[in-house]
Amino acid sequence: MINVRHLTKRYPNHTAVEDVSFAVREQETLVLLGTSGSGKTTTLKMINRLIEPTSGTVEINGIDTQQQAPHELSRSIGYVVQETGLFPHYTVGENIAIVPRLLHWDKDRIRNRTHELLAMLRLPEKQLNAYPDQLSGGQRQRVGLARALAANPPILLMDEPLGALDPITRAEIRQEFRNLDELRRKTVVLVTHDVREALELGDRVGVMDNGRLLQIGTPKELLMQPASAFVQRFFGDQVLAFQLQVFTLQDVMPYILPESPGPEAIDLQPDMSLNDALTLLTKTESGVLRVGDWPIRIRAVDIWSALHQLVPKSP
Amino acid sequence: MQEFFDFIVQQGDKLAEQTLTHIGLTFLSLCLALLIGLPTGILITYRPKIAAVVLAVVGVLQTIPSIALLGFLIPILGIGSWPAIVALFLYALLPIVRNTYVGIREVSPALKETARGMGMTTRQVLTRLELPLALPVIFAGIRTATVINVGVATLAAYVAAGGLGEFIFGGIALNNPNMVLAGAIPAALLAVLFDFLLARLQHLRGLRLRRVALVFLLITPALSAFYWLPGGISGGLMVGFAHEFYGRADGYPGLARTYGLRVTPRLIDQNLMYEAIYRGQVDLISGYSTDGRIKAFDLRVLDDNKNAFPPYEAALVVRQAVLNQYPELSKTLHLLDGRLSDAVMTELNYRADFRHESPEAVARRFLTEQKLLLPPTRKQRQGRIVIGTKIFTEQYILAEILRQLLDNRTTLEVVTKTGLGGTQICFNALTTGQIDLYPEYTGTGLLVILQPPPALADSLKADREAVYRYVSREFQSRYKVSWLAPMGFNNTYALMMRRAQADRLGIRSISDLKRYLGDKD
Ligand SMILES: Nc1ncnc2c1ncn2[C@@H]1O[C@H](COP(=O)(O)OP(=O)(O)OP(=O)(O)O)[C@@H](O)[C@H]1O
Ligand SMILES: [Mg+2]
Repeated sequence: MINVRHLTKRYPNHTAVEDVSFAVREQETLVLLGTSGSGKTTTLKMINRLIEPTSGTVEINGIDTQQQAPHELSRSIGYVVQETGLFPHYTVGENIAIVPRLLHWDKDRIRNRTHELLAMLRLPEKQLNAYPDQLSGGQRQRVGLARALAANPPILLMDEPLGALDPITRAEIRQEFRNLDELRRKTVVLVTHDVREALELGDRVGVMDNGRLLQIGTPKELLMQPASAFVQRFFGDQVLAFQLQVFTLQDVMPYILPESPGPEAIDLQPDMSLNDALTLLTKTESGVLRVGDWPIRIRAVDIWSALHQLVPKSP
Repeated sequence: MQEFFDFIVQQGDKLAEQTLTHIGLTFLSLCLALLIGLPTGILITYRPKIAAVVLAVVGVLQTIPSIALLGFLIPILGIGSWPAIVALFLYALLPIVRNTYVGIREVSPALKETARGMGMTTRQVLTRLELPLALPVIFAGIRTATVINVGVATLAAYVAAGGLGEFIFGGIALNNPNMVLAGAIPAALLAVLFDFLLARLQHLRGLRLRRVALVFLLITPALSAFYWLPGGISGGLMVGFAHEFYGRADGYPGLARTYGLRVTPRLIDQNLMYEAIYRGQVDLISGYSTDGRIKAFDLRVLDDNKNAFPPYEAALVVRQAVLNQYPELSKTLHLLDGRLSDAVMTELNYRADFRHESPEAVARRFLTEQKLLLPPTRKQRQGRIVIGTKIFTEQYILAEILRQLLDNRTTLEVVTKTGLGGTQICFNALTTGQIDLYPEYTGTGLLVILQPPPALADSLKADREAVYRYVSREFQSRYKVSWLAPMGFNNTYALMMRRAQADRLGIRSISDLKRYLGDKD
């Protein structure tokens, strides 16, 4: 759906983005992950032409974005930024209605859509007439997302949408985002420097450093085959935590010897993360995973040894 | 206090008219400043380089003193409403341009980018984001501009543009505190009121602020409509009087009584008036009979054939003690008796004011022509004499004549102390011995210093000699000050017209004028 080819952005004495290419499929979420100053924001803004590239092209549905006027392009792409960028002089309702109004929707349609979004994002109706500074950070973030979704754009660009929140609220909202059907149907490019967020939200993750895209792949691919020491270093000493978060029982199954379960064992789902599985297994001796009709008995030690075989050793 | 309220009640109509004119003038110029200033402020946000230049220029305009600014504008725009409107407009420009610019620049760049990211065009970013967010700052600018304008608009009275300044400057000229207050208090109240109302606007937010801003932009032109051009046409002649002349009992009221003359003048600053008649913006003005500009602009002084104006014969007032101490002083000063006729004094004033000759040179030439100077000799100086003057050209010239004459013919050391403000200051300096003599006018001595009962003053003033005799006697007995014989000219109020027009209409005297205006009515 989005096709980025050889994007480069040079400033007089600095190259912000160097020869970046990637493609994002329909309904896929691509996360650009990287340290501060690595060129993530610049790359993102070149997609909706807030920044014009020095060279390279961006195609959306096979059409070069240069063919379109920037403001028309932008209206078909939802855009969410850190600190939300809500207009302080507009109420929540007015903020959400910005793009629909630019598109000349009629009043009823805007009202219906607004109420739909409020319900979806679990925002109280009475806040419709509140100003942004009367909301909490988390509420503002949801309004920011509602605003970006308002006109049903097929594409959503998000630049550190949760950057300003405390870790607990962050995790909560992340969870909510993941469970929104509407979001799942969008083609999303999301920028973050939080590895956990990238692994949790991204169908695929692109790791950037110093203006270059070092590696792009699914979270599992990145964890199993980091293309460079840099990518590996990115996960740092939390690599185990990330592995437990990303891999599921299904992934480690091939490395577990089938064994009949005992009577007192609890049920486990194949798409359960290792993290969740281990948490459960600290309470009981073992669990049961059904693959087809076959029940397999799993103990905590099995998971550890399977994981050990699954991931590469540190160089 | 009671007098003040009496004045207000008595002059209620005029006060209301002046207040409305004042508001109108303030908002008319504000309206223009908004019309020009807002777009300018907006445009320069797109051109930071030009912005610095534009802001510097409007900033400099702001620093020009208001009187000077009016002075610059009069040669271009003449007198009347336009220079006042333009001056106020220029003053209002800086706060509006600067605050519009700053207000827009202060909107966070991240927000502007978000707006573009949502698909707003440059124009939509301006109207939906930048301007609404800049509104409080812009209103602060409008508020400053309004308060400045309410204050500066009082100066409009200098150029016949009306407003509360008519009372203020009229009151100052007439030394009438009630009149000054009747202008100053409403002006101050207006400033406070507008300041308060606009401050309220500044603190609104969101949609309400945007609505109120719109209403305000509609009200401003409506308030401007209070301003209409002041009248001033009488029987085909445009009349301009100085505030002082218009209000003082021995000015227009006396004239009206003596000749039965009725005109509706525009009120103008005395100094601007000559310029105005020269340029044909007015046809008949009040003035002083020996002003150099009468010659410079070829004006005709209408003959006061019924003695409506009291005599203002120039003569020296000298402390009696000094006359007694230095006998040669009085002998020498008497040499000037009768040598300065109206024509001669006008000529001297003309040389100083228009040929830009120094008072010193003018005086030297006069004394030489009159053969009053002896060949210079070396003298042992003894005794010291101080000559004072009020602040205007004629007095400076007279002081120079006296200095050079005394220096040449006596052994006294002569010092001049020029520029002693008005009559009261000069006279006080004399009675307290800080100065020994200065040139005074009989009418001034009578009406300003002695202030006799009006009945007595009226009976005296038709007769020059009676006035002179009265002031000589009273000054001598009350203050031990002596009036020397009149020097020959009478610097009194006068009505004047352009000579060409006066000749064409056959007007030589005030009676002729009355006849001409009477025919017209
Ligand atoms: N207008 C500009 N002029 C010059 N250099 C710029 C400009 N904008 C960005 N850069 C540089 O380009 C580099 C990439 O910036 P970018 O904002 O894309 O980084 P980022 O990955 O989003 O970082 P962060 O996580 O801190 O937001 C940085 O080194 C920055 O200093
Ligand atoms: Mg960034």
